[in-house]
Amino acid sequence: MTEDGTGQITALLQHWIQGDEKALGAMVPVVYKELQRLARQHLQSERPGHTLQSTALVHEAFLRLVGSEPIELQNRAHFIAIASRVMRQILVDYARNRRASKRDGGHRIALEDLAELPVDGDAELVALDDALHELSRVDERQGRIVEMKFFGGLSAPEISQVLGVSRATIDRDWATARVWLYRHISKTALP
Amino acid sequence: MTDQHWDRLKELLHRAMQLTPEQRHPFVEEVCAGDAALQVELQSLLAVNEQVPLDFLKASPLADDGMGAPKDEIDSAMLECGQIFAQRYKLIRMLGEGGMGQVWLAEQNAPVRRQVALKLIKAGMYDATVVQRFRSERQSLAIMDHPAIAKVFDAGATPLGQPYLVMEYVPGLPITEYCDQHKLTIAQRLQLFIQACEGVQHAHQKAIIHRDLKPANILVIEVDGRPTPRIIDFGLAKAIGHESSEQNAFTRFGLFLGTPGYMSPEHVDPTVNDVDTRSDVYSLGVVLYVLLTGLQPFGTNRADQPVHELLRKLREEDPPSPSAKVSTDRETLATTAQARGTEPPQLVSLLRGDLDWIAMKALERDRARRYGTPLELAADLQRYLDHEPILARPASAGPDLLRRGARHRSAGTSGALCGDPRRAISGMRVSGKFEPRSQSCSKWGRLEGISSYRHSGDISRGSQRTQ
Repeated sequence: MTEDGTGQITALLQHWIQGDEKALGAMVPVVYKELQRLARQHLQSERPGHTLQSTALVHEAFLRLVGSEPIELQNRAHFIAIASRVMRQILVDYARNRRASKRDGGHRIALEDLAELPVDGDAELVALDDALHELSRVDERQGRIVEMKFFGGLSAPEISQVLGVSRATIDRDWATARVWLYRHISKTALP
Repeated sequence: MTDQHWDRLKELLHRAMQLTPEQRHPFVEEVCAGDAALQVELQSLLAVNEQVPLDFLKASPLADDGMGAPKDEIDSAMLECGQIFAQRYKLIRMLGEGGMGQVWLAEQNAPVRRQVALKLIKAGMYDATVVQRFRSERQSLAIMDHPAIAKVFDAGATPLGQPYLVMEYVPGLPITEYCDQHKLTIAQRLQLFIQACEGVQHAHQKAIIHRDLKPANILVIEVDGRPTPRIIDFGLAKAIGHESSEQNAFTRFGLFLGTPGYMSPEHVDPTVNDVDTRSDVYSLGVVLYVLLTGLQPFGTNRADQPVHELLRKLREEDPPSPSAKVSTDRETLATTAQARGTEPPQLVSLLRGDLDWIAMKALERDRARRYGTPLELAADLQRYLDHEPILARPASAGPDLLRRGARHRSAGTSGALCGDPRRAISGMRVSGKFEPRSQSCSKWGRLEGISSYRHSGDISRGSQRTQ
């Protein structure tokens, strides 16, 4: 799965950073597959006391896809920005599936282990995803900031680098997005 | 693709979130200025903000072991207004950020509702031993109870190892700034300073040394309309610094902990390992010096005095007496006198004599010759204010004179006729007004300091007594 991605990703990253939106579209499936594969692999190893780390996964995916060739720090931040979106998709997909039905099979093991969610369950994660879609409609940048921070674990300085806006703006957008999202979720959420 | 309305709203919301609850309502009223719909919306968002759970969106959806980005700074990405820190403190706004870390104004809701100053030590400035020390310092800091000391409510570390210190929020000005802004007279300044000394004394009795006393850590607030000093950051330097052999200004990182101008000679001496309470006495001496003269003892008009040069002077030289120091620069003297509600000649004569002696005794390079405690310093200043003879002036000058004479002869300065030839000479050289006088009562000299009476040559008087 990785062989088609390695090397290619570095070039795509460059294109994307230079403004080629299509490059993003080409990268996402590759990153998605890699993250999913890594998640499964980690879950199957069943090391005692081992919990799945989203940041670790993203980091590992980065190393596998981009390799250890010298790469600018900026690329790393951008890669994680993409991986955040992908992590969001994976997690929300899992959550939606889990809500639909408790299925058996390999998936189920994964789901159990992925359940360490601060939003306290699948319903909340799905609600957050919906709210994020709404927020992005009102303020696209705020949607991206939440995605990178919450799903990708990017720090404010890194997000500031990826988006090319000031640190103060990131702080303001993040603080107010939390309020907006919370209000949206409590309005629409289950009783 | 941003909604114009939300764009404005989020700006206002964010500004309001950084205010204290009391400030919020007037702010909303003001910015909405009659726009009822906007006001309702903003208020409702602020109400939602109060309900947002502490950890909402704060942790990654998967547990995080910190294997991601290296934590080479306080991840201020994790810190923002409205956030709850250590389960108890709601961050209101950042008060300051420096080399050591950040200070936040925060609100505590339980067990009591109050505003506190939250100090967060920057990553890289601490390690596991510092975290341990923070925890152990908590007890000793909590037992301090003095009106001149800001209370320490809590000290510890978060589960992630971020050390923090919670103390009383003191919305005051540094003592020197306060005094200048309010044009306090020398006597008023001394009264404030004496209270600060009493606070430091209290801490010393509890076996706590401040180690970083300076105007920025001695704030003045008004209590019932009266200025009152309040010292902040007690114990912080120790908690951050390193134990035992590394208890001086140099950490293993080669970083400089402390504020050069206010540190005692032994504090900056890498060979001295036992900084004790007398180091605080020295720092208080510098604060006193600045209160009197507006300048640090080794301060120059050149802002670019290299630190190593300052440190060398600190270890090897004695500063000019306050009266000599103020006389060095005519231009600043006028401003300095004005900020003390007086005129240049009066200021010089006010300082010359007792106050010179007291400041110089607090600033002795050899700590054995300094005031032994902050209280002794305060008591001598009180004697000055009460027109009683001060102790700093060598009273039975016989043996004292010999000792000083010997000390300075060996250092290449001769002139045993004066109690302290070195100072007399420096005073003379700088002010050009050195005139030994026969026994003039310092009390009258001071009382008449405003008049044309020249209360000069006081430093030499000690020597004349001895002749």
